[in-house]
Amino acid sequence: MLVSDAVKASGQALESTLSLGPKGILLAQSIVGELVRNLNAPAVEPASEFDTPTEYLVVTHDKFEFRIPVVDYVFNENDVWARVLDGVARVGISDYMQQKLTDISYFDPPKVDAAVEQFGELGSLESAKAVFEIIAPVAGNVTAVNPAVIDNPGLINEDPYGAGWLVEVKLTSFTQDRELLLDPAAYAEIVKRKAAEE
Amino acid sequence: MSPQTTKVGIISCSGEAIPEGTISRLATRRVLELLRPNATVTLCLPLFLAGNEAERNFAKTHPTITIDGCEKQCAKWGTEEHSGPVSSALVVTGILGTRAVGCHRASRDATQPDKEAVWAVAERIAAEVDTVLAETGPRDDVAAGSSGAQCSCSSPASGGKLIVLGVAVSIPGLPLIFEQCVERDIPADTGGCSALVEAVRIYRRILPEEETGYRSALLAAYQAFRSGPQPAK
Amino acid sequence: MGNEPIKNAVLVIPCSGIGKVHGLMSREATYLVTDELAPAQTDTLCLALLVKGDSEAVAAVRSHACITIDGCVKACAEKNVAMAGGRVAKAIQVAEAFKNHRGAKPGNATALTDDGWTITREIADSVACEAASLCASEEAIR
Repeated sequence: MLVSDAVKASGQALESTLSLGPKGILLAQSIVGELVRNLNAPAVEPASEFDTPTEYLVVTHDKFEFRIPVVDYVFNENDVWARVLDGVARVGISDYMQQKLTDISYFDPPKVDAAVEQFGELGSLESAKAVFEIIAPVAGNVTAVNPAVIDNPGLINEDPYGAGWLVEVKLTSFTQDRELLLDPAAYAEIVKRKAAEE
Repeated sequence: MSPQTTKVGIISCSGEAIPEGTISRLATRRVLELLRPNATVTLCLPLFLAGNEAERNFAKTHPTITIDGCEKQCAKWGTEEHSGPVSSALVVTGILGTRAVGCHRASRDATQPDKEAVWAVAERIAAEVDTVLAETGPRDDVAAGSSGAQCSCSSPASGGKLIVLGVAVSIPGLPLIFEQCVERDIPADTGGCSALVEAVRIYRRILPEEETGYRSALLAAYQAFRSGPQPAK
Repeated sequence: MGNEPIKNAVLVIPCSGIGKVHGLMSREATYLVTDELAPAQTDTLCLALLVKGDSEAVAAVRSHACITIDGCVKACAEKNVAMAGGRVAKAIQVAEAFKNHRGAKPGNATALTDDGWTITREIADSVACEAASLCASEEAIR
């Protein structure tokens, strides 16, 4: 939480003194209230353990190798993957996209509890090369954001299919969504085409 | 399977301590971005030396040119150490001679002579890329029968097929190579393997890690050749 | 350290990675330190020469404190200096510096923009401070 953000959100300017005036005290109380609510809120834990993939397709272009897990992962054409377990999809970006972005320095996550449509926005990533909007592969409600990548966005580059996951979404229409998603082999063809076009 | 388009790998020294290292680096970038963007791939020397498999594998399977700032030739050394022989090794001091005197390491100090030096080296690298590509031609790792190779008398040379490490390989003129080996009394046993490999190496690049596969494949083919009817001399 | 022996106390060694802007920034930050900010206290040497086992380069990293500047987490400079027996007094990663520069467009591996130079100068400033601190503590030369 940033106090400066809370000031902006309140729409009130604080007194310009070193000790808190009435407006400052009100704002402080409001911040305390929000902190207490957050503490008392049920913890939003990420869904059950997802196994780390062990088998990959490899698409090679020049000196680059792009890995694509062969089991349980589906992709959209925007280089975002989803992996479904117990009605929840874990979402991240592909190895191809993390290599294209190079060192990721920021992850702007969506809000927890936000509703998202398939092909809507699920936050964004920023690197020295580009800003990348994460296009949701599935529709649902955001239930978790990976705290590890908030603190260390480099995890996304290091392990895009495992520890570098981004968001979890409770699914609302996966049967429909699945029809517009690509299995690993089909996504591999997309990657080959994109790599050749660059 | 149609031949793949060959790209040439370029490894530049990083040469932090001398201006020629900066010239080497910038000239390589110029070739990659402007002069031969569709024919070249740059390999990162620090990553290469630190053990990156993707960089090393590319240099093993593609023709590679090194460009070094000085005669110590660190890029050439690193490539040969970890991937194999280079197709061409250039040195900035050899290309520029005294024109590198007065050049700068840091880009913020670059002057017109720096830029001209970079252009001169870049053009030299580009010419070398063209030469290497002309010599290498498209990759041919799949059996294709006669590859159309010709000997100096302009008669088509019959090809020979081997299976090396599970990959079908076509070696133009293999029967003629074997004939020479027979004339040199190279034995058709394990004692003759090295000589067979060296004989083929004149006509085809064999990487160090491929050598074991070539030894056994060539020996089997040579034994079959020697046990068959010999051509009239 | 081109063809001259190293004189100064602290060695600043960049990765100079050619593929990304971070490599260029590591290199230019090094030159800002050795040529402008702390020329009396710092020097640099060729990383590849060190990896090759050049005896002068190896002796230099073993007898001077080293500050490495790497473009990314692969940390080629830090790893190679450590493998050569050098003492890495401080390891800097350019990618970390971007965390304070949201939205910056630094350029590419060939040329830096104004944003890129701003971040590079910040890195160079912190390296120069570190070098001064090492010299002051007299740990630099063993």
